Amino acid sequence: MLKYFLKKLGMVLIVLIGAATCSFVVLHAIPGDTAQAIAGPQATMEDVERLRASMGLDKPLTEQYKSYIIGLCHGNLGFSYHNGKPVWDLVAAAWPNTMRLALSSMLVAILLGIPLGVLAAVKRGRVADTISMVIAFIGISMPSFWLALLLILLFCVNLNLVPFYGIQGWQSYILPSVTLGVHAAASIARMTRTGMLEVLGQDYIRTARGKGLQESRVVFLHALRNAAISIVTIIGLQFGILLGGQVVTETIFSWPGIGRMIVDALNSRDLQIVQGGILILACTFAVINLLTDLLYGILDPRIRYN
Amino acid sequence: MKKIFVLTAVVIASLLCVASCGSSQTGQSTEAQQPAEIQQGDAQIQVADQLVILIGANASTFDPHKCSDSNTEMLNKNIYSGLVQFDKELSILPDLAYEWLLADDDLTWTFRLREGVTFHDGSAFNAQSVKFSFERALAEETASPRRYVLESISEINVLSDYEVQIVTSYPNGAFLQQMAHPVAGIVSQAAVDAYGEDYVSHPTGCGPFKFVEWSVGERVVLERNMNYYNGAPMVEKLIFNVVPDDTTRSLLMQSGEADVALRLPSSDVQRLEKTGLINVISDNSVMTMFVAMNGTKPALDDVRVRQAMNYAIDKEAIISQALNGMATVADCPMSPVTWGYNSIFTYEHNVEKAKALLAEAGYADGLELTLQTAVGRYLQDVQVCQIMQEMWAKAGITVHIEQWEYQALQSEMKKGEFDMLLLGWSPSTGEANQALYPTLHSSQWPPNYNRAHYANETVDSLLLKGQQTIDPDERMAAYKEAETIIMDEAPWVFLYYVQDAIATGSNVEGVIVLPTEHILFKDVFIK
Repeated sequence: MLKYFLKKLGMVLIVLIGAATCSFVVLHAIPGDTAQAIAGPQATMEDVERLRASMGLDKPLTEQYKSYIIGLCHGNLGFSYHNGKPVWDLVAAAWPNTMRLALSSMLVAILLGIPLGVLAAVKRGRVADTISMVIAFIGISMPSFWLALLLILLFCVNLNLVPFYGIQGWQSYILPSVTLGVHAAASIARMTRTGMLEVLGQDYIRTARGKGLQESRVVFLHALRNAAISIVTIIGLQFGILLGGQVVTETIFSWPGIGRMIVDALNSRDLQIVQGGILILACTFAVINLLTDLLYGILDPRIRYN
Repeated sequence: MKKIFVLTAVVIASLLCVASCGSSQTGQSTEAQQPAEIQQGDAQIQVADQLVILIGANASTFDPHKCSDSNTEMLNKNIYSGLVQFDKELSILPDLAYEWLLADDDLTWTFRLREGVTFHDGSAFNAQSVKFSFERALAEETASPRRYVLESISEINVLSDYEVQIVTSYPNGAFLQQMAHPVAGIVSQAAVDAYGEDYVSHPTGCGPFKFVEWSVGERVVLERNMNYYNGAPMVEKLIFNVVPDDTTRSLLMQSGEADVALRLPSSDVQRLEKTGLINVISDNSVMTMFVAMNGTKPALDDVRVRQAMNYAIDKEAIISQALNGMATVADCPMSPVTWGYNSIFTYEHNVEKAKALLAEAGYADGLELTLQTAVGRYLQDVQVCQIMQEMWAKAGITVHIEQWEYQALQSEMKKGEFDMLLLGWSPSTGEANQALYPTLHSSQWPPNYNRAHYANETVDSLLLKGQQTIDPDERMAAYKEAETIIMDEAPWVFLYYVQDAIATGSNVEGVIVLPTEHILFKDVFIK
């Protein structure tokens, strides 16, 4: 088990180096001049060149990359000349906000998606199955910005029930979590249904029913547990999609998260923040994948890590 | 099974803990704040606990010498004071200097400074503070993006504790307007020395408000400076909440969760005004929108073609269709609120005249051009381009629109290979030199900002005269003559001047909106 864990950790490190390198190469290849962007649209060319030199952007790309990687090895994500702060400070402030929103959204997705999927599987071919899948289809089709604005209009402007911008206590999590969670719930519901249908047709389920067990025990303790591997897989994937796709929701709800920070930084060509943000998100996703892998062993004792 | 229950319980408990460990920042109450009352002289003035202001973009840096975006410069204008300041008409008023004199050489300015003023950290403001601040702004190692504003300064001398002398390298007619720019805000030497690179987290000026807190991407909090030389403001705290989405800002104002909202879309202005609970302040800003036509390109190098491009466009229609009436047709290369503006003339919408000019220039069969625009940089930029495309088509001019991401377009523009560009220009000093010299002097061709590649020797000498003359009447005469030539030679399609709109609650008074897109809260109070 330890050997498996260390091997996975090594792969995480390789992924992070790859992510750092890819983001560096891509960001320096896109059109746009960082020094000009920070200097502003009226700075003289002399002022722009002076700023470029002060940021080290006049050095060859290979030298900039080397400094970047060496800095990463020392835990230094770079310096934001736009904000005048170390990138680590900015990313460290935004990351918990993104993670909390992602976790609360996943909670909504799991609480909605799994029961919906189980219901659809158990009542296969009947009205409940159709309704569940239509709900899932609507959830997956609805653009998040449209849902967000509808929720804001109804619950904030008209009913004045919850706040809808920034973080103003636990109530602020409700609307953005629902906005993000509905989409993920749809995918989880569909995968749960598929997994459950596969399991419910197995011999051991027939045996359990034949032994006279209550249907709820058959479904939740025997079938769902065996379908959990595929459900956990989709949850892990959806978490990654959530992390990457939060930017629209973060913008509408003025949520101070990493997604919005990356987009703002990209618009102002503050490349250090973009690189730092991508790296942190890549690291988070890699850790989530690692935890998902480890969870398989807990859910299914037949899986061995030797 | 037991393992599953334990695992599930642990996971749910963890999630609940994480979700409940939300930001420690408390939210603002949506209930109206009950202002305290204080006696000030004979008047009973209510001091409000806070004013909630919605801004559309993150702050960048609170170091005025390193800041280049107008959003953060607006915040800095409330933290820092300069030697002089603008009023709503962009006239110059005293600030930290109560008096100034220009010597006969037209180069040497002597400022007499207020005594007894202190920075937010308690250190004394004096002539040495001014010298330190300007030298820092001009220093190579600071690499200030706004250094060009102060570039005429060649020498700063401390004559006494409260007298400072600034010598310019040429007679600078725009000098006082440059002194009112945010980059000329005076910083505390004690704070800079104490915090060094971390000064941005501890900005310290003499302004009406002190810096309290900056949650990047979330909010900026300022509190009133009780020692402000002009009297402490009547609001304890200013809370600037970052709300990037225009619709969300409007909805928040409508629901009463904010007192002021900046940069509202024109589509929401009328709706908010109808509620009766919200005042909307809108007026011309210093921004001029235009299409720069590359004078080195075939066809566009002919003044008749450029004039035809102007006559083909119905600017009133663009303003009413795309901007809900919130702009003014341009009759000068700069906005009426910019010092040096003269009403020259407008190119009236006349398709037949456009066709006649094109025929005269040898383009009776029409011509084909490309128009590049950034997306989302200016209000309704793409829609304005599409409307113009249709209008030009009626005159026989086929225009292809290329939509670009703004920063990519900035790089592309420097190459100077485009046909036409949709652009806006806001002179940050609110006067003609910054409006015209960078955009129309022949020394400023790309990669600089004269995108039209415009060159006229008479205009060049007039612009230089305006820049290096002190007498305002002489400057104005030079600019008027230059503007007349420019309008006639039409290096641009002169479109419109943008109106900025901000919304305030009906009980909020005293918000000062400068045409330079800076908003001052020093006189704000809640009725």
